Formats: sequence, C-alpha cells, structure tokens
Amino acid sequence: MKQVSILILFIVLAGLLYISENDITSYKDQGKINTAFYQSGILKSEHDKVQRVANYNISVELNADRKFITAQEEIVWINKTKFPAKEIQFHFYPNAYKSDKTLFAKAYPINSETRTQLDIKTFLVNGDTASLIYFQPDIANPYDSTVAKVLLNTSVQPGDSIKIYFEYSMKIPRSVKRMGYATGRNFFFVSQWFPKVGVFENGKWTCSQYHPYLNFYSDFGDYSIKIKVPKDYIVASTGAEIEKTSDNQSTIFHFVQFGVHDFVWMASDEILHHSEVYSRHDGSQITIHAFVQPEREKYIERYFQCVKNCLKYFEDHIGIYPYQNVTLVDVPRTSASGGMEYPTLFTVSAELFSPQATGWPEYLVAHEFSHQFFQGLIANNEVYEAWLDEGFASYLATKIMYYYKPEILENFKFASYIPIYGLNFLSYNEIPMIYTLAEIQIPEGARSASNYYNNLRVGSIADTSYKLPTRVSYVNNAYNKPELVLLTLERYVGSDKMMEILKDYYNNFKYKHTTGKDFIKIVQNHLKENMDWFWDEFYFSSKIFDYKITSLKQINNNTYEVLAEREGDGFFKNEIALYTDCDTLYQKWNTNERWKIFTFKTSNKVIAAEIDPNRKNLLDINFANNSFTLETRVWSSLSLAIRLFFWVQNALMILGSI
Amino acid sequence: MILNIRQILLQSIRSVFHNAHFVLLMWAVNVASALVLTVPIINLLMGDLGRSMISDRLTLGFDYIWYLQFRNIYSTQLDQLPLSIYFVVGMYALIQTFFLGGLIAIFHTPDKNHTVDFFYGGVKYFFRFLKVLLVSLLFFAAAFKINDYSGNFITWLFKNSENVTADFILKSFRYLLLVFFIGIATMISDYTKVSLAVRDKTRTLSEFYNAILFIKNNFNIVFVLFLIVAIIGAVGVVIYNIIGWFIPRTPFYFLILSFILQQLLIIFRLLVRMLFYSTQVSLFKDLSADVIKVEAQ
Repeated sequence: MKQVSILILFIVLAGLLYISENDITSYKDQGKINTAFYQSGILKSEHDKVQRVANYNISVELNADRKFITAQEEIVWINKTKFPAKEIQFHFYPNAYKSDKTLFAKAYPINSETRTQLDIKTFLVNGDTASLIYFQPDIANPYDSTVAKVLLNTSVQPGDSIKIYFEYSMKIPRSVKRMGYATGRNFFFVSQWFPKVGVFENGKWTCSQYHPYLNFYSDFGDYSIKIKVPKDYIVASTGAEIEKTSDNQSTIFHFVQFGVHDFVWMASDEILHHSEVYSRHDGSQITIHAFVQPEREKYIERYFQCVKNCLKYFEDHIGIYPYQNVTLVDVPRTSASGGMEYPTLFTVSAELFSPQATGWPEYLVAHEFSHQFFQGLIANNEVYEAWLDEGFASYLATKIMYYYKPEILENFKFASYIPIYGLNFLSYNEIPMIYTLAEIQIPEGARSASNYYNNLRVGSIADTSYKLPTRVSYVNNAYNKPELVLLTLERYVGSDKMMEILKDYYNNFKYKHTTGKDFIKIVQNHLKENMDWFWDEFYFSSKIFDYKITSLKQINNNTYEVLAEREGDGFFKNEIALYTDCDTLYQKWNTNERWKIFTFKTSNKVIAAEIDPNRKNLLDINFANNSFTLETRVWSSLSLAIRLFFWVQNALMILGSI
Repeated sequence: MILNIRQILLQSIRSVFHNAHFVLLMWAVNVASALVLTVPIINLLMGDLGRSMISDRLTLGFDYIWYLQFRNIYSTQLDQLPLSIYFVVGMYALIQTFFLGGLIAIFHTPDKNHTVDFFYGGVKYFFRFLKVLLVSLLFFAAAFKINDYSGNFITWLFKNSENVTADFILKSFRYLLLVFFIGIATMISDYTKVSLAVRDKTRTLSEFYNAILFIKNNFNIVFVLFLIVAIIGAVGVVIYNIIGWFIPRTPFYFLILSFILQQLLIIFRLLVRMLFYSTQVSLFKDLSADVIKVEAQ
C-alpha cells in the first residue's frame, strides 16, 4: 500500500514538473500590412491633426539579469499656448516606488523588492546643467518626489521650444502595480518609466503627483525610442517597429510613434507573439499584436476576436482607430501589470478556466481597448476627472459585450478556479455552502449597479477624482456610476442619438485634452431639450433615485387614479404606464414633485400601473416598487420561498447531523 | 463476521422500514426548524413582490437586477440571517442528538418496536452523544483548519510561479482530502455513538479510541457499507433532479408538485440517514460479537 502511495505521489509530482516546463517563445505572424497608409505609426491622413507638444527621443538598455535600465532621453517641448512658460514641470513617476511613505505607497506595499527611483546622472536644459526642485502640487507629502520643476533663466515664449536632456538609471522593481518584473518568469513591464513633461495650459502647469489608483495626463507628441535588450528577448511597445538590429549579445528595437501622449514597453523571453490584421472600411489595415503567456495559448483566438470586434464597433459607431498597431499584452499571473491601458497598447490577463459565457476575459479586453479612444485619443486628465476615461470605457465595454455576445451568465468560483453558473449565497473558504445552479443572464449595467448599491452617497461624478475619500468612492464615481449614467442617458435620448453624440465628441476632441464640461456641451448641442436637470441630478450630486407607485384605485367605472411617489431625492423625467388587458396607456411625469396623482380613463380591465416601464433610469435603486398590481401577487414569492425552504431543510440535515 | 454486506443491508433496510414512523417525527422537526429560518424571508419577499409586476416576470425568468436590489434594500435583515442560522442549527443538532439516541436504541433491539424505547434511548444516551458531538466538532474544525493552512501553503508555494495548473491541481486535491477527512470524522463519530450505545459504555474518549480501532481494523467493510448507503442517497437526489428538470415553472400548481417532490426527497434522505445508523449498528454488533466455537459432540 505504501509503495503504491509513493508511486502515485511520484507520478503526480512528475506531472506537475512536466506542466511547469511548458515554457516557450514563439512568433506567429499573420499581421503583414501595407504600411504605405502610415507615417510614424499613424495614418497619414491624421498626421496634421495632431499637435506636437512634447517630443521624446530615448535610448534605453535593459540589463535583464540585474533588472536594471539605463537611459538617455532628449525632450523637445514646444510652447503651443498663448502664454510664456517660466518653468518646466516634470512627472518623475518611478519615484512613487521610492519609499513606503510616498503617496503611492499608501495603497501598495513598498519594500526592498518593490522599491525603486530614478537615479538622474545628467540633467541639461538647452545644453546647460540645471537643477530640479521637487514639490507636491496636490497633496502635501515631503516624501513624495513624483513631481519636479526647473526654473528657466529665459521664458519659453509662445511658439518657441526648449531642449531638455536626461541621463538616468533605474532598478526595475518587483511588480506591485503597473511597472515591474514578474517573479514567475522573465517578464518586464516598463511603464511610467521616463521623466515626462507636465501639461502647460492656460498659462499654468498641470502636473499631478502619482496617486494610487489614478492614472495620467500628458501632452501629445512624437516618440522615437530605441530599446536594447538581451538577444533572446522580444519587445512589445507603444510604437511601430522600424528597425531591429542584433549582435551576439543583444537586440536593439527601434520604435517610433506619432500622436500619442505616453510610451510603454514590455520585454520577455518566455512569451507567445501572434499577430493578425484588421481591415478598415477604406481598405487600410491595422496590425493586432497579441503577446500571450504560453499557458494561455488557448485564449489567443478569443483575444483577437474581441479586439477585432472592438475595432469594428468603434469604426461603425464612433470613429476610426488611427494607429498602425494595437497591442495586447497578456501578463503573467505573478505580475501586477494587468488590466491597464496605454496608447496603442493595453494589458490583460485571464483565469485558468474562463468559458465565454462568463464574459471574461472579453470584458477586460473591451474595457482596456475602449481606453484607446477614451484617454488614448480623447485625453482627459485622469487625476481630476477619471470618469471621462474609466466611465466611458466601462460604458463602451458593456455596449460592445452586449452587441456581440448578449448572453453573459452569472457565475461564482469553486475552489478559486472553477466557474459555476448560478448564485452563491454563502461560502466557506472557497467552498460554496448555500448556492443555486442556474443559467442567470446578467443584463446590461448589472455589474456596475451591484457596485453602485454599495456606495450610493459618498462623492459625485463631478468631484475631483484624487480628492475622493476612499477607494470605493473613487471606483464608484469613476467606473460604476458613470457607466450607469451613460446607459441612462442613452436610454433617455435613444441609442442612435447617443452614438451621434459620441461620434461628435470623438471628432471634436481626438488628439486633444477634454473635460466633463466639453462632453456636457456636446450632448446639449445634439438635443433640443435643456439637459441641465440631467447633469444636476446625475453628475453634480450624489442623489438617490427611487420612484414608486404607491396605489392604483378605480374611482368610477372608467377612471383610475395612480399615485406615484418620488421616495429618493433624485429626480428623473419618467413615464407612467397603465396596463390593461388590451393595451397600455402612458402619461409623462416631467416635474419634480415628491408625489403626483395621475388619472387614466379606460373601459378595459386594468391590471397594473408602472413608472419607468422601460427601466430607463438605471440608478433607480428599487425596481420592485416601480409597479403596482390591482391584485395581490403571491406565486413568485412562494416559489422563491419554497426553494429557500428546501435549501434550508437540506442545510439543516447536513449541518445538524454531525 | 457472520453476516455479509448484503445480509446487513437487507436486515438494516427491514429495520428502518419497521421503524419508519419515526421519520415523520424527524421530518416534522426539520420542517419546523426550516420554517423558523424561512418565514422572515417569505415576509420580505411578500412585502417586496406582493404588488409588483416583477412577481409576474419572475415566473417567466430570473430578474438579476431585482435580485441585486433586493439584497441591497434588505441587507440589514439579510445580514442578521447567519446568526439565526447558527442558533437554529445548534438547536437542531441537539434535537438530532436526542433522536439519534432513540434510533440507535431501537436498532440495537430490533425485536422491540416501542415508542417508549425510542424516547428512553434518546434520554439515556443524550449526554454521552452530546460529548461525542462536541469532540466531533473539534475533528471537523481540525479538518477545515488543515484545509485552510494547506491552501495558504500552496498559495505561498506558488506565489512566484506561473505554474497555475499545478496550483489548481494541488488546491483541488486538498478539497478531496477535506471530503475524505469529513467522511472519516463522520464515521468515527457515528461508530463512537454506536459503540457507546451497543456496549452501554459512558467513557466517551475511550469509545472514540475503540471506534477508531474498529474502523481501522475493518476499514474495507466499513467503508464499502458507508459508500453503498451514500450511493443509495445519491440515487434519490439524481432521480429528484431528473423529475424536477421536467416540472415547468408555470402555471402555479406545478409549484405544489415541486414542493411535494422536495418533501419526498427530504423524507427519503431522512430514511437514508436512518439506514446509515441501522447498518452501522448491525455491522458493529456483528463484527464485535464474541464468536464461540462449538464442536460437535
């Protein structure tokens, strides 16, 4: 018996070792395109639409063994404003990982492995040595050195430019968030790695510290980046590869990208690289690159299909994706760089088991891809108005998901990995105790609604993102509530109108900075109705919406009275429906009384009354009280109760029979 | 061993049916306890859906948004539910301990069929079995803790590894181990109770030790018998699910049919529970009997 046990154990361990040795690097190219349409990675037709403000020329070398980079960076900054600039401000975001006392370290653990900082050896302004002054523009914290400025001897006048030169080195930290190396394999994700100029607008600088959870804000420009890596490494980046030279030891990749506001890259010697082509309606093509972990090869086709769906959805409804490449990087599970967007490149990851009906990783891909438009092309300040990118990306990811795959099923995990379709009510240590198995469709917006209910009041969408007091309030006001508000707006104005609005927003603000006011103005331009009430209720405040039908009475033979109440403080322009056995009668409630009686005349048999019958207002917290039936309903309650009763009986038998 | 598995099973099934009226008592307690936990939820549902058109829509299909809103609106009441569950489960376990004493008493003396013996056995063995229950709880807690720690250990082991498949296999394996531990703990607990009653002993820990020895020495037969009865129970669940699959959600009278079917399954499972004890009593008595060789004169 013992010998058999040892043999089984040996076979299991050998199997696990075999599985662990499944490491390969491969390249499968189905992505050759005609590059004549492009210049520096962007469509020639779009070239003149972009303002070249901050232009970067960087040579960087990765020492993979030491996990270390050295770089020389040249910046040409052009003052495109009407105001002179007396100083230049820079983001030094790697310094967020400098100590456990930085702003960033309040949310993520910084220790010897995850610590790093920019070690600047040379800093020149127009060829002269200069010195940096570190300061904290948003939140006072003497340990935070993620923003610095240089005072200029001579102001940069409108239309003039300035040359800045840096030489620096940096240890790549263990991945704790976004930038870093994975501990499970040779995988380096290098983001927010170089000194980057802030945004000079209206005569002053906007250059925020590196806030935990929040993202970035920069100017568009021209990037030319040379990346030297060990010979067996491959590199994915924001740019289009124009040259690749190798010697015995190393390979130098030369990337260029015009019309972006950031540059990120990844290097690995254990990753699959596949590419495919998407053809725009005009015949020009985009190369889709997928860099995928070897153990997730099964997801490659789904990744490509999802990116193609996104490209098509945006092209059909909003606008074209103007760049030569779009790159998906599937990060290892020991990396914390997944689920993040950068110009032309985004990161994702996937579970061991994830059937399509779960909606993952497709939703993640659609969300991160949507950021190519909302932040990548329409560049809002993510530190101040995160909803303009996260909210829009959440909204469009949902639209894309339900456009291509309307059946997404609720599921829960058994033993961390195995998705089970149904609802889980109670579990112990990943073991579902009380649950039901069923194929329950998740409707549009439901996932955001679920999170929204957990934080109804703290903060409004209009609040400055970095000032929101908790992570939950930030996530709610940047992701969940904006998604619900945009879905509500769409249901209010109609889908076609909403897409017209987004198309106009895109055409007006691509390659530009935008604010919430800009979007509100665009919406207003498309509608005759004054929409101030909508923004007052949904955007500037944190009101709760709860409309209710309190009673339905027959006054005389043909007359019925419906009492509707506004139980929450939020106001919405609603419809009231009266259902009869033959037809449905409607009335509008466009005013903000707390209650109102509606009189309907009908000779048909009346069944029920309902407010907001089409569920236009997705922020209404209780749809059950939106309707009132003349006769009492018991069977659904009994049906649910009987099921619950049966679960309890079984649970008692199991737990009570110890 | 005088009897084989088939004989033990047949004898036990006969014994269960002979005492089948006790299942009604157990079912009534089960129903009453379940009602205590369910009635508050029924009230919430009736209040929420009693005049709502969502009630009509729910008969056609599940409304996920309503479910999310219901959970949010009644979160205060629903959050109280686990406390009620723990209390009711505790009471239920005590009542079951009482019933168990009665059941083992009547299975031990199959010739009798006195209701008085059932309650007498319940009272007589209650405190002994309560001690077994408390010690068994420690076994179960240990099994879950081992599961916890092994999970943490595997997570630590693979925290710097991309070998997600191996991580998954090992974590799954630990769940199999948990099921195995729970099965063993249940068997030990059951045979300790049987041993206490059959041998009419009062020293619980000593009987735990004897039960462990008994299971160890007769593992194959003990396990096979346990498995066979478990399979009988599983067959009932499978049949219930097959029939349940074909019962439509509407119109409402199918709900009544569904309810009857559910209660039949509960009664069946209670009978299977009785069968577990009946087979264990028979097996224990058979294997621990003193065999006296009689030579023919």
